[in-house]
Amino acid sequence: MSRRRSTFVERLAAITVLVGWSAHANAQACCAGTGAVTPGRLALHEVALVGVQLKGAAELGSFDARGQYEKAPVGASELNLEQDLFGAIRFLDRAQLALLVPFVETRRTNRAASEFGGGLGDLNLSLRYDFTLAGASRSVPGIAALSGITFPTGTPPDAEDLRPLATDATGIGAFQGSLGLAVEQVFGAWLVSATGLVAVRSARNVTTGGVTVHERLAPQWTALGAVAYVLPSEAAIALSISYATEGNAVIDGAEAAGSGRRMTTVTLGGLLPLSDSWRLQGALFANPPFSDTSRNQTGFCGLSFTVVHSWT
Amino acid sequence: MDLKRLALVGLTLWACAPARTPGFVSGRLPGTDGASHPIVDPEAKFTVVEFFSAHCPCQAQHDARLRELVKRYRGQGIAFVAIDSEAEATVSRDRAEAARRGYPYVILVDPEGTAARAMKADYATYSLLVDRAGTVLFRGGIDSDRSHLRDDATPYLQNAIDDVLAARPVRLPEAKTLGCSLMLK
Repeated sequence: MSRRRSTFVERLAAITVLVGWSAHANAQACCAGTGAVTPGRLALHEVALVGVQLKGAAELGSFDARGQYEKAPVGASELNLEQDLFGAIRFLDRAQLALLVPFVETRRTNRAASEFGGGLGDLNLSLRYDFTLAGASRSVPGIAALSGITFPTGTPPDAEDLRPLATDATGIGAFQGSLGLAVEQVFGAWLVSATGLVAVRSARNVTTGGVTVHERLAPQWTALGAVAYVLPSEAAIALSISYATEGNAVIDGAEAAGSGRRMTTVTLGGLLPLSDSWRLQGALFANPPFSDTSRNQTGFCGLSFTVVHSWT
Repeated sequence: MDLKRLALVGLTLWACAPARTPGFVSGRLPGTDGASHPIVDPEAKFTVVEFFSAHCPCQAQHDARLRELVKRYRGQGIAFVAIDSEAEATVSRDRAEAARRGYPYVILVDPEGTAARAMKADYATYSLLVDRAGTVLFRGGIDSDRSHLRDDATPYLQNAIDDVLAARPVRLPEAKTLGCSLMLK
């Protein structure tokens, strides 16, 4: 369960990050700030970009259904790796389309066994339309509409022939669509952003141990707040906090008590532009190991490293 | 000449005429030298109008290229002027900026953003090349670089100046501007 759930939330976070952060970044920092948090968004002057993001996260513990945090038991460990290929293209002055192709691997160990597996994850297509631009007006912030769809191209956790520790589960097994709104504004070298997203997932039949049930996950609501500071060199640092929550799933028409989830993630990111068309990004992310900050989730800490090439 | 032919000639002339910026500001703005200046210098053959941002890194990176352009063309009848249309523009701040950057021209201060709106300037370093009559012959970025300047950049503005001085059509009358958003009121 934890693997499936964490994968889902990670996907949603990826969507949020991919489309939700201002690339325009900084009127007074000319475009660098946004990349400090998300590599997948085009800056205003860019028409296309491609990139690769490498992520690694170690499980430190878990949050139960009541939100109580417990450290990982002795002898058990989990390492999640991910390589995201992404690209974005501008097709209108204010609209951009992005594609994320993740490859997911897991190394899971318990007292009895150790296993490594992975594969293609769930593809995500996202769209962003900027009604107004951050930094273009002192009184009107940047406002953007976000939408996305995730395709169940990964291997769901209930798939047949999974390895014993299910390390080859790479997706959630359902389509999900998301809609959101982002608001951002520039204050000198600072960029402040707030994003709200709601995601709905398609219902599906899940077969486990020969028993098939009809499952529908509840809509998930995500809030993302971020602040970035851009140096004169256009290097940037950013701190973001996301909070995602959803109600109980419905199984065969009945609400499954205690299945709801929440997750808080804190990310500290940095960006280093190498040229007008190449930039590096790195981030340290974690969900704080404090009870009630997450529920039905793993507790983790990880690093990411991203390379982006863009065209103007 | 019949009416149909007259209309055709008129349409052709209209289509081929150089674009005039709608609502081009022909008035005056206060400058960092303490005087009031016209945006288009009536005594110069052509005027370069560049939109300035005190905070933009792209602007800062282009300071040297702007100074170089002034040095090369001022003696050939080209006037240069910058306009600060950002909400926080003040004469005193821009005077200090002009001095710090070594600008050999004044910055006109336009905190209401009137000039930027009239000239459809959205980004810092957006430049126009204008003749005495106010006809815009070129509009866009100084060059194809943003903030990491390269030797092989295409010098849009310089090419346009060379073209008008040689009395030939501007090879690229409109170019992309790679600067920060101008924060207007």
